[in-house]
Amino acid sequence: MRPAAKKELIAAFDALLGETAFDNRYSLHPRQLAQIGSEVAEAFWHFGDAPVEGDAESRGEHLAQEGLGERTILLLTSRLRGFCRQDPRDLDAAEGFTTSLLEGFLRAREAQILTDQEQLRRALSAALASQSQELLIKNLAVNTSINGILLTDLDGKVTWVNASCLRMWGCASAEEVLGEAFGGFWIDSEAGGILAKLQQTGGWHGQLQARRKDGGVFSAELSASLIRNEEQSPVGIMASVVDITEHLKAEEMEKNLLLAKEIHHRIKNNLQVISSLLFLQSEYVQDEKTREMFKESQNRVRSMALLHQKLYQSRNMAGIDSAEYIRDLTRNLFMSYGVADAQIQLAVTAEEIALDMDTAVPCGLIINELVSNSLKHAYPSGGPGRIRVSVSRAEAPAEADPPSAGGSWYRLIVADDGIGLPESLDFRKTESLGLKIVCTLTDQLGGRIELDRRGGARFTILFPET
Amino acid sequence: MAEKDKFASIADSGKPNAGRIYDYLLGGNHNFEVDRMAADQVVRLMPFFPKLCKLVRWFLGEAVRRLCEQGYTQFIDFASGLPTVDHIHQVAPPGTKVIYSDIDPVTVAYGQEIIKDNPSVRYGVCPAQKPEELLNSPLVQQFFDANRKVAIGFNGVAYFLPDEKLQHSMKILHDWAGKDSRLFLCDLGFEKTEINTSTGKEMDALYQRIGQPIYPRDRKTLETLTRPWKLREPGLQPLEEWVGVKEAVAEQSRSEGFAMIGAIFGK
Repeated sequence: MRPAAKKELIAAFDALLGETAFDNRYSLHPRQLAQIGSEVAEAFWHFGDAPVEGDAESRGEHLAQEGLGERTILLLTSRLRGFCRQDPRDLDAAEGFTTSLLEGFLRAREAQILTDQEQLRRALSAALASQSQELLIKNLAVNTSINGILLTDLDGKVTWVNASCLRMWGCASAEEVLGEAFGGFWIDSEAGGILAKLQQTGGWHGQLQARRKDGGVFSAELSASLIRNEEQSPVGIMASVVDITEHLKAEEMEKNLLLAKEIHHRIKNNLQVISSLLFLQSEYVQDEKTREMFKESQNRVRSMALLHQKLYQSRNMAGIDSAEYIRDLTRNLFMSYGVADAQIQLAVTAEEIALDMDTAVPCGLIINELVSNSLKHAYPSGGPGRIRVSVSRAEAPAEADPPSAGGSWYRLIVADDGIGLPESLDFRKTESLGLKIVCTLTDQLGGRIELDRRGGARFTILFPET
Repeated sequence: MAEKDKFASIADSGKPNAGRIYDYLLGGNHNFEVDRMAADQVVRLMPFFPKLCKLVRWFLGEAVRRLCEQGYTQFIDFASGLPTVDHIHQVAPPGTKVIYSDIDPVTVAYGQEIIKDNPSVRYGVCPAQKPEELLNSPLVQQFFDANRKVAIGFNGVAYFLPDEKLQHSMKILHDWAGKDSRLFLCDLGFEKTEINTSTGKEMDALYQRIGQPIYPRDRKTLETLTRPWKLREPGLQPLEEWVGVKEAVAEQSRSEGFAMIGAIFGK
């Protein structure tokens, strides 16, 4: 072929490639097209002069890899054949070249498509595997949820339940409930209307009474919602159930506790009013002895008011902190009798014992009487002295009667180092109201009382837990 | 998109996916019949659309080549699509660090699979209107040097963002990028303000139907909205000029004043 013809061919290819820029794959940048034209023309020239087997095919493969489009290469080969049609030998060369070029091109394109599709398939598999893992975790989450999860169809027939749900209803396996009507799980008539409400609003939330398989009843909090597909059409119902029986009981107990605290608060207030009334009344009394009686009564009432105060201030109202109560009680008595710590020392030792109301009331009154006695009589010259009050756990006495024999016992000691009780005084038979109260309340507690007269007066009271 | 919807689309290969449709429009092979059918619908309404898509990729390649020649070695790309042939990591020299991102988790899942053997490339989920989600992520912070001199790709996505969101993205990117960073951006624009052309209306209607309004802009508006980035020479030009397509051929990619315009910006 004429040398000038190569330039003409390159120009013809350039013109063609320039017009078909958009027919190629995007990987083939328009600026590369001019280079491709001259490369193809060059390859054809070599093919015509000294054909090397495989060259044209390799060129075709290269063009496919570069991103030349199918339409472009067909136009290119057509243009080449047209360019060579004047000379049969050139035309033969062009036929041979384009056939090999196209073979190589198509083979590479096919391989390219297969590679890309394989890559796409792998990508899809990876995405699906990732999704499967997500779904597995979600499935496990629902299966192992502590909430009962229940799925039904749109007619309310159960299609799936999780393990918690089975436990709540006392069922051994899902087969026992699959296909059953959703409404049959509940006692409340309201349950019958839930499906209709779900259709209207898409969701329902509330409390219901549920019936177990064995006929037992439990309180449940139910959240139900329509399951919608991507087109937002309802395809089923999901219900989440929480057994709130224990929660409701705790709530009830909490309410009762609050109520009891309120009652104790009011009792304390009323006792304080009584105490104040006694004080006001005593102001009108001239006789010192009578005034003293008023004061004693006032202290008794205050000891009980203090007890109610301690009780409603306690966290769970199960009992009061005995140490704190005794300290406050005895401090009040010291103030009531105008005794300063400098004159008579007070020592309170108490183990951490929570006394219930039935024990604390008599116990408090006993301490009130005995400490009052010490303050009034043990130190005629006003002291110095020491009053000791202690409460501790104790061994049950050997002669204790059932039923208290097996329970806890406590030891209450009220002692002073004053002048002591007269030798002739039998505290169990005395006319003193205070000591009568002490003995009566000790009996009421099922306890026993002893007096040690050495170095003052030391009362020891053993009593069982009520 | 809700989490469940994301996974539904991954699981359902019978549904067209935006990344694969785009790949088909570009002449790629990473697509299924369902994607090709969806793409054909788009082409019927907008015959010039595949050409616009190719122009975007060619511009991207052109910009990356130029920026690599200027020494840029860290690239972040938004609305990347599938990182198949002729994307940044294939144009740039080996070792160039590239982070692709896309709003579509399906595309990202595919993309991660495609680039998984390349240690210099990462791919994360990020909407182009919230680039901070990517920039503040460990992915970017651990992958790039402390030096934030980067080249940022923002191609073929601005016309999906309303003005305030585009401005937000531009400001976030500008604030985050280090000194001498570059932004290469191309967008669907009008030579004039011819939004009322029949093609414009058809295109707008098509996107409205799929719930994705578009915001084509003229050069001046685009230049204003991309601030504080500064235009560099040769400024906002039709992509055909950037990539060297002959004028007669370039006409095929235009219709009634529509054109893809692009520029490289500097900080």
